[in-house]
Amino acid sequence: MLTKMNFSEVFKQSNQLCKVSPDGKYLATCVQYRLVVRDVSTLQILQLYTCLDQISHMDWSSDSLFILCAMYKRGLVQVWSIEQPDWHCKIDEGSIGLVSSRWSPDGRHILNATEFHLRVTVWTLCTKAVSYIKYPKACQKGIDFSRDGCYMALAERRDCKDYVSVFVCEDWHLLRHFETETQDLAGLEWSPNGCVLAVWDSCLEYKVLLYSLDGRLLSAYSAYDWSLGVKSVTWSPSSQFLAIGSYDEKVRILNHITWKKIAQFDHVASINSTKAVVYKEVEKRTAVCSDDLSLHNITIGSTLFNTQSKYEICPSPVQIPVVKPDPDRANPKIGVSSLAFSSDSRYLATKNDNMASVVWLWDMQKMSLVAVLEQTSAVRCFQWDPRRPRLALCTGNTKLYLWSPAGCVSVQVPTEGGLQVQSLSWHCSGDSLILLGKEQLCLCYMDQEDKSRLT
Amino acid sequence: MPESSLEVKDLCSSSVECRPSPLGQFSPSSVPLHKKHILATFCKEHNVQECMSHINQEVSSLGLPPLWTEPSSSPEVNVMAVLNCMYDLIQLHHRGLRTLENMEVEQLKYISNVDYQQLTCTQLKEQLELSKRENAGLLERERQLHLKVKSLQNCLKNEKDEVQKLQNVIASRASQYNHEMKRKEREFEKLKERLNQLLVDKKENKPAIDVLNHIGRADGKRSLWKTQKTEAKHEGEMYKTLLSDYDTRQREMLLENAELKKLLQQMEKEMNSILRSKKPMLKEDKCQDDGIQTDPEEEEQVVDSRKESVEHCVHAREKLTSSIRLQWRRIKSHVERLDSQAQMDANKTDDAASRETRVQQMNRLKPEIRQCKGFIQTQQQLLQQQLRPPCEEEAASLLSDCYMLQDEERFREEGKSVEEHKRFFEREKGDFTEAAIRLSHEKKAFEDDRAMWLKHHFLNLSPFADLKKPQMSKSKSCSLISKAESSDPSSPEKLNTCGSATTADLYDTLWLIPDKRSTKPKPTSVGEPSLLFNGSVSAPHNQGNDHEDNSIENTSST
Repeated sequence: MLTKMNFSEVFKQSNQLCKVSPDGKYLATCVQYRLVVRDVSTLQILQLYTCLDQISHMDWSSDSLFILCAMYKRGLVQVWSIEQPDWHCKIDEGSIGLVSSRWSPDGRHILNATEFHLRVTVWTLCTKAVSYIKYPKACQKGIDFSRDGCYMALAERRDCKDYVSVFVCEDWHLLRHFETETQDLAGLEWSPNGCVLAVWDSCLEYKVLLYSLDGRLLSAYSAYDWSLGVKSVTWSPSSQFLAIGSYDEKVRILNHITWKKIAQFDHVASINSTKAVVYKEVEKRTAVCSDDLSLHNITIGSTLFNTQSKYEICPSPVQIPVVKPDPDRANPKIGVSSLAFSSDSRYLATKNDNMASVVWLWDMQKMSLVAVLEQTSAVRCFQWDPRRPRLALCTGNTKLYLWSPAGCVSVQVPTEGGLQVQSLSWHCSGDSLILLGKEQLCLCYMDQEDKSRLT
Repeated sequence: MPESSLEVKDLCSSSVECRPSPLGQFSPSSVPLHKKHILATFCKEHNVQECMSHINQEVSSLGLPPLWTEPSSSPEVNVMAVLNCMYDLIQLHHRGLRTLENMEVEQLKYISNVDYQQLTCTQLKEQLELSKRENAGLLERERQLHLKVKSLQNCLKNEKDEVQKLQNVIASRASQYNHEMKRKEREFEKLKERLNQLLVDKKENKPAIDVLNHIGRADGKRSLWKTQKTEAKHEGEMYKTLLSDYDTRQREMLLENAELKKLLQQMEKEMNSILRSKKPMLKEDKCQDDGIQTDPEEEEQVVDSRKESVEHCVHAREKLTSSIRLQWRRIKSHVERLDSQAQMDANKTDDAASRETRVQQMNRLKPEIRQCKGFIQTQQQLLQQQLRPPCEEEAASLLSDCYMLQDEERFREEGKSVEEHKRFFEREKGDFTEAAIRLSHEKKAFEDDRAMWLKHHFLNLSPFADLKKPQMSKSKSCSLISKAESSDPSSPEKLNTCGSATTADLYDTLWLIPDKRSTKPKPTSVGEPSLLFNGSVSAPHNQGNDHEDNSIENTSST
């Protein structure tokens, strides 16, 4: 795991809008109403575009040639071309308003959802044609494209009933339209192989339905009645498993052959497992001695006052700090809200909301807990390396944490002024990380050294 | 009744015994009083006097006045006194009878009392038994009721918990519903407002797109009209993807099945081989008879299942799995038997086991020992024969002794010489170590002197040399130079050429000072100016840098 990490200097960004192009060459950031495109390796500014208003949402097209910038307040979408900086495109939704805007998988259509989700407008950059989709459902995840970009699943609600429409992205032909057996559809997601659509109900009813691409109901799964149900759902990259995180603090794994539960992961407050390694972040405050205040140290700046931390391995049994949520509030902070599979489907990382500072790592081969990371503050974001089983997470302080099966490390992000890492995202090659603060961003480049060179 | 007569008799008998009556031959006790024949024989003509005195005595003993006085010898009897006496006696008698009656009555009363008490006692005992049994029964019932109460309390607690849980669920659902309701209401409000606004607003901005120029499709093809053909094509493509997915899955599963089948067959082969090897041992056991009989059948089955190349045949699969299960069960039972046997052996006394082994060993070893003894004897004989063929016994022994003496002396001398050598070597070793230590000290002193000299030399070279005068003693400098000349021929050249102070030379000299062996490692990261920090996780590079830093600082700070 010995990597050399180089941190870039800090750049400004607003709204946490900072994305790497799908081909991995460019980095686009938004600063107020400007769109800045940089080269990923040198961080030199390649293009600079100015939009008409503060940018609410920004996204790359799939072929990395275009960027869309949506300004929800003004109801505008502006599209910029990387190859031709003079090219411009402006979509004005007018009085109907704009709530969300996204690319289609082919990078030539833009889907805008109007205010109150009255309809979804499909604009095309190739022709003057416009398509409308009526009655889209406003829910947690009402629209999803299959990974190969061929099909789009859209949740609709008509006459107090939930429907799913499957469109062919090529020409927006409605392939299938079927009613779902949900009370209140909350989300849908394609499996990575594009053949199965998982549909889940809102938290008031635990129900996960699995539909085949042609609209047949393959299976329905419900773990229990009455208590609050599904909180998060995710597919494994190999399409073998569907992980369902629920409000009862458990994750249930369904297999793709029988669609029955094959494993259940409990997030217990007291861990007794001998096979799981519990890493606990321990802060060690560096004492500021007067002798050390040489010029060299002062130029480092605030890092002098930052606390160093390292991971300690705790012997079992380990007590996890639990925060009981307020029972009277809706959407209580309890249950498994974040699930992520590693790229090889070998590991699953989960976070239980009433143990917010703990990340749990499960081995999918043995179906058991393999590691637990207990941080000093609530975990804000974690993401797997797209190439290897390495997890990066941040807790809102100036540190970056990495876990891999070989071990765990806590890295201080060395920036002047202290970047509080609020979220992070990996570069598609897995060689660098983008760390986003409140209004700043920083890149971390990692060089994988050959093990032969190291002692 | 008999007792009262007995009492009277006693009285009579006692009176008769203390004063022996003249009429001793008959005892008045044998004559019951209630019988009408009177004691006529008591007084006769010849014993009147005695009778009179006797009666007098008796009467006086009873407390009555005497009938007549003694001295009067006249036998005339005072009739009055006698009558009085008789009357008193009769009164006494009546009194006696009365007391007798009373006592009889009292005795009867007492007897009846006692009977009554006994009756009541038995009754009470029975009652006590009964009540004890009842008590036991009641206690038992109470215990059962207690248990029931406890179980009911548990049930109640469970029900309460469930109710609480359901209440919590209801509460959370209610709060969720309320939240959703409020959200929808807010959205509704916004919608209404928007609608109002739109109705009021005259100019309606229609959504429009403004593109500089249309761009080509991502795949370069032209878009097609939506026709039935395209629809069919889409359907076809969709089914194709589904079918290909099913195909791949089926292929994977076939492969997996084939692998598992191979594994099962291998396991079966191995189990078979194990069981066959155990057969001779198993023949002793009765329960294995069945097994042995069915074994050839099993082998046939196994062979059959292997011969069947059609892998997906259900029968073959079933046969395979059932045969594996059977063999596994057999192996398990065999292992269990072995375990139990081992335990039993362990439980037996140690003596028995060791005795057995010892006996076996002894049996094995005895003939060997005999053989060896025979060999030794023959060898001894031969040796002896060889040693003294021509000489007599004494000469032979003397000669053997002197050979031994010679050898002994030789060895002693050799030992002495070896020890001498050893002592010598140790002395030399000590000398060498001392010399080495002295040499290292001298070397160190030399190096220090050289360092001092070079330092002063360097300081003299700098433009600020006038401010600081080198504080070096002449003797030291002389020794330095002489040592430099003697030990290191190359360094004087360098010292001489230091007059033209180039930075290259300076660096060279500096590197020479701390440690000749260490080589400067390359800078760790290109473009990173600071040495102490680069956020690097790898430790060794940093350490090297620090060491370098420290050494440089030391030499430059003084």
